[in-house]
Amino acid sequence: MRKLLYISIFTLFFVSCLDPIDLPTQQGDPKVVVDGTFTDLLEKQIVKLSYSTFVENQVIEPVTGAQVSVEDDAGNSILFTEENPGEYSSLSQAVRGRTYNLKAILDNDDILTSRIQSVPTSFVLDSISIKDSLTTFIDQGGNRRRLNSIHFISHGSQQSVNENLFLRYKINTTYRVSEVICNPLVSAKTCYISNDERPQSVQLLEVEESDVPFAFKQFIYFRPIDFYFGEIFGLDVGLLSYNQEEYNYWVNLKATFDQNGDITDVLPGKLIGNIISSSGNEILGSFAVVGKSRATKLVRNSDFTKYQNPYCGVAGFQPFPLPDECCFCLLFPGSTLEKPDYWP
Amino acid sequence: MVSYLDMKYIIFFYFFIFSSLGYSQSVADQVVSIRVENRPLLSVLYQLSTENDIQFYFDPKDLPVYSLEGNFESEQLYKVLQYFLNGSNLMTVPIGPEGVVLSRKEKISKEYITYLKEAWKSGVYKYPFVDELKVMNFTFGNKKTQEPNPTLSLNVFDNLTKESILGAVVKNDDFSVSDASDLNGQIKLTNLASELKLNLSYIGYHTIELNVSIYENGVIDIPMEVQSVILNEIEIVGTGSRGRLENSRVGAEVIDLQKIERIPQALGEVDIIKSLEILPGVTSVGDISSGFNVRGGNVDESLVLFNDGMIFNPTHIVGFLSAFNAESINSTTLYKGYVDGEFGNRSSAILDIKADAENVESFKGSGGVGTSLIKLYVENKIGKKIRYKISGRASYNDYLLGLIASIKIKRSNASFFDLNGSLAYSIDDNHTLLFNTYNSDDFFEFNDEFGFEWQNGHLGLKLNSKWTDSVFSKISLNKGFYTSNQFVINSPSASNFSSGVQYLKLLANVSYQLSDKGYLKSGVELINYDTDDDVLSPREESVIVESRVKRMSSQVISPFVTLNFKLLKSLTLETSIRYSNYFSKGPGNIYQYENNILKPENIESVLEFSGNDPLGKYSIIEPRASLNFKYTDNISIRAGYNKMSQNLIQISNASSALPSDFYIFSNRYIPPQVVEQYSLGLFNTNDAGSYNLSFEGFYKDYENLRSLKQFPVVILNDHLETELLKSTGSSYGVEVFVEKNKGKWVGSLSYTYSRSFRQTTDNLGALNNGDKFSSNFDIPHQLNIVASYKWLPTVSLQFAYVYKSGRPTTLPSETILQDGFLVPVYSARNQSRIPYYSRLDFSITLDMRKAKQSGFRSSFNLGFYNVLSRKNAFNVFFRRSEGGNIQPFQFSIVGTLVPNFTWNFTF
Repeated sequence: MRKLLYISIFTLFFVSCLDPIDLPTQQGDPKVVVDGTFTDLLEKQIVKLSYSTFVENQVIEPVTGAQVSVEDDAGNSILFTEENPGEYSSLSQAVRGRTYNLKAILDNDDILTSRIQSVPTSFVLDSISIKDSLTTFIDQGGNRRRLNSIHFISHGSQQSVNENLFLRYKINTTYRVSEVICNPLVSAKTCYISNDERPQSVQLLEVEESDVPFAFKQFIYFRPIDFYFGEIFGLDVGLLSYNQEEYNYWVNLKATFDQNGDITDVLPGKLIGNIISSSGNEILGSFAVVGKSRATKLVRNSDFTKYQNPYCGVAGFQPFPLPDECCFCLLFPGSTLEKPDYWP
Repeated sequence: MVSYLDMKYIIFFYFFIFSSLGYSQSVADQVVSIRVENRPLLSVLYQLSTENDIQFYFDPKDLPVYSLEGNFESEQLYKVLQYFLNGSNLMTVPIGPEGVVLSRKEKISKEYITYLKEAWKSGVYKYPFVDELKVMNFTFGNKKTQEPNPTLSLNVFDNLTKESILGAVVKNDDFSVSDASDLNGQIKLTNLASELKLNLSYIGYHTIELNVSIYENGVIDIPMEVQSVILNEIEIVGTGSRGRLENSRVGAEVIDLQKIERIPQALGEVDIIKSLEILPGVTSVGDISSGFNVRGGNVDESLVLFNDGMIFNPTHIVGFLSAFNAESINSTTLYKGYVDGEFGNRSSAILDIKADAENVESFKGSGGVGTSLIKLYVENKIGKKIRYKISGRASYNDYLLGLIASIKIKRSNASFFDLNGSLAYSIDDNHTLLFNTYNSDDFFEFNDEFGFEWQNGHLGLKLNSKWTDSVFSKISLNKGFYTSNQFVINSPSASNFSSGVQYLKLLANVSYQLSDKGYLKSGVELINYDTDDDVLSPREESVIVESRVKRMSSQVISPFVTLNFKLLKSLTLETSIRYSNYFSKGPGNIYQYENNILKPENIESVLEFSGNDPLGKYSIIEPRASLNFKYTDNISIRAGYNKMSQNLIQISNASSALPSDFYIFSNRYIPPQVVEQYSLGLFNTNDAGSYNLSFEGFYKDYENLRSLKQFPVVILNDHLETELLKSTGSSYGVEVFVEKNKGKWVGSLSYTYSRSFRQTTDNLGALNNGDKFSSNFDIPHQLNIVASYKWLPTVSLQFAYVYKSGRPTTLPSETILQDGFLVPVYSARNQSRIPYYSRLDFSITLDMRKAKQSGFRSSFNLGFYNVLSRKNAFNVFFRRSEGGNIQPFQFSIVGTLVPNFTWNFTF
């Protein structure tokens, strides 16, 4: 009887479950996908061209050999060079007061152009603070887990907001791993591993026009406390200010991306960007001209009361067996010897 | 049910008495034959008595009222009695060569046996069937004054409540005269012979024999008496097979509460809304939904009326349980085809639930304790003028939650209650005043993440009047509300989003008998809607800034006329016309658009409106008709045309209707939705009424539909016309329903094939390139099988099986990479389907409530929901798997077998 009493309405919800299933999806021809922003900060601007892929496939193929440029209303054209396959870049910046659009000529002579956009006003991101906390979250299996973690909180303020602002956080992470000396003939290197664990939620923020001072603080990211913080962990936060149409694209993308399958899921829709092609082919993705403000935060062992071991330990206290990455840190996926520009 | 020891005791006592008195050969061994199908013990004893010249002595109040089944050919009486008395707690004692006493064992004594004998001999006790055939003689005029073709009018009503009886059948032996009473209990007979011998019958009432000599027009008022002894075994509401044949309304389904009890229920609780789904043409999108879909219509196209009050969300627990206590309900009727002109403002169906106290006769009550809720129902009569009933249910699941060792469960929370009451005051014999109230309250919170709160409520006052023998009126005033709140907790964007709608409804009608066979009803319905502000407010430490919008609301004035007319002896027409006038009214904002293009970027200005918007007025004439042709005594054919409109839209941007959905009303940009329906049906029953078959087909055509555009902005948006696309729609289907009513196995099978489509006609971003596509509730195949096996008089087994095609869903066709996010890109809307739905439920019921007619009686139900433990998909979606790829997942609300246990009692 006692067992029976445990059964209730809630059992119905408790026994609700998520299961991966096989579901045939419709397949069409791959489409060209544009993924790029052009900011008002002087930095490396990147436009990526790729092909869409079947849901079951999910290997992204780059679009190579394209001529990519950003044109402004004064007739200037900023050329982008293909740094990596499908990744086109240029060290440049958008100038407030001008309008810009993307132009890309594919190797089949199809010309892609984006909507012409002005440079939106950015919102000043003052700083990033951290908070040591115990985080509870639901993992992929639907189980509740607890982790000691660091919460990163953004702080922004302005005396007034002259127009409605449509903002999105763009977050990059980097942590440092220093090799140990495994071979006396080879000097130990330091690697920087970027974006190993991107935040898997799209974070948007709308700020309404206001004559009075406006300030906010917002939780933007959390990271479990472990070896990442053993040396230096860096968070590079860009607050991108969009034109409304391009912002709506991200609102829709978020709605698509945040599907959980539960009763509160919104009806999914087709994601339509702002690119057209001369051939009339459907082009996916978006190119956005954005105002950008940026703040970075470096977190070290000294920021915690409890000491964190670096991945490769410290002299005399190294893990056993020693991971290969501790002798050759470039084995870390995404690692580089190049410091991020904000690194000390 | 009688225990094993009781049985031993009875049999021992039986043989002891029989053998000691030496009468066993003459009575107990007497050979009898009897065939019993769905009859109470009283009827069995009466047949045994009359056919075998055996006198039974008993107190009728001691007899159980459950129905019995059995077939005996040339069997000894004691074996027959032993079989039929099993479970009754009655003992048999032979007295004399032809007599048998039946008594409860605690009463048995020599004095009591003597008393019973005297009582039967003196007529204190008698079979109700003896005077069942009440004979009434009437003479109108004489041969000298004979009029050509005189008319005989019968007014049939309940002798206690004075309520008109609908569906009472009058006929003569050769069926040359055959008719049924209409809504006002009236029957008009013409082309009559001068000397008539008629039988007037209605299920649950004593049959009356009418001997009439008629030479001029005559009117007879006939009070019918309830067969009280066997009343409990009679279908509580059903009009019976014959009644269904006579019913002239195509697509009208009277829900038989007793049959609903045969269905295993998810939580062991008789569920009116969920049980609708055994009817063909009624479905829902999954295990939970805040409503139901009828014939391809959206949830908001079905109006739920409870004692005339509108219930916007008729469910508890986000749609898992209906919000009505079945114990308090008098009748439930679903109109899905032809709809009387009295009803409107929704375009697919009307669910009319009556639970008022008008028919309360004496004190009685019921209650129950289950694994999820507790309930109590009481009705009583105070003096001769006042009757009341009150009913309440409440959950106590939080206690259970705490017992379960799972953090996820412990952090969930759900609670609800519903409370309804009715008070009837008989002003005089012709006027009754009714006061009705209903309230429900729900709270649901899942895993400290999100939740819903919602409340329904209404107060109603109603006056039923009988002005003359042919003129009746009803006037009711209802005030009600629906409020909902969706909240997000433990999040930086923790918030409440609340909305609500209130209404004041006046309904008045007068009906009167026409000179010919039929009645005329006319009236008017006035509804004033008001919307609460939609408010988004922060909760805890949140980045949300409080904001609110005020939506325009509406007034509706709808006069109507209904005519029920017997065109021929076997052809009846019911037709209505309703003139719906919708007025968009403030306070609220009205937006003006550049070039009248309804896009947010085209907004030119905003008007703050407080009165009626002259550009937001719509008048729609809604003709409706239903024709019933009684082809034979067992077959009727019905055809119908129905036009209905509605001026409110439930805004739901999720896969299923949710408590947090809110309502908007037609305005200058959104005209009312109009639905025309054509239906054709055939109803067949066999002579015994033990089998019914119905077959109906329908086609519906939708105008002025609105479909949410892709990625609509619905929260805090007071110009939702920019988020809705002009659409049309259609749905069609065939429905088959087969029912077996008698025997140890009873049950039904219903199958529906139906399709439901939408097509956007808006050039502002047509969905699916403007092509026709499946609606969210396009479920082509639906099969429901319900079966109940009466194992013992008090023990029955129930089975229910549901199969449904998977509902349409939108799946991605490809994935793209955007700033590091691997994003699925969805294809055209509703081009795929989730997996099919299949569920088997089982329950076993020990029902002692009918083992005696008074006192405290119990029933116990042990049920198993989803016996096959099938994980039926509620939704499918795509998200990043642990491997980082986009992968399809299936979300199931109920993923395994769920047992439940309920104890119900009556007193």
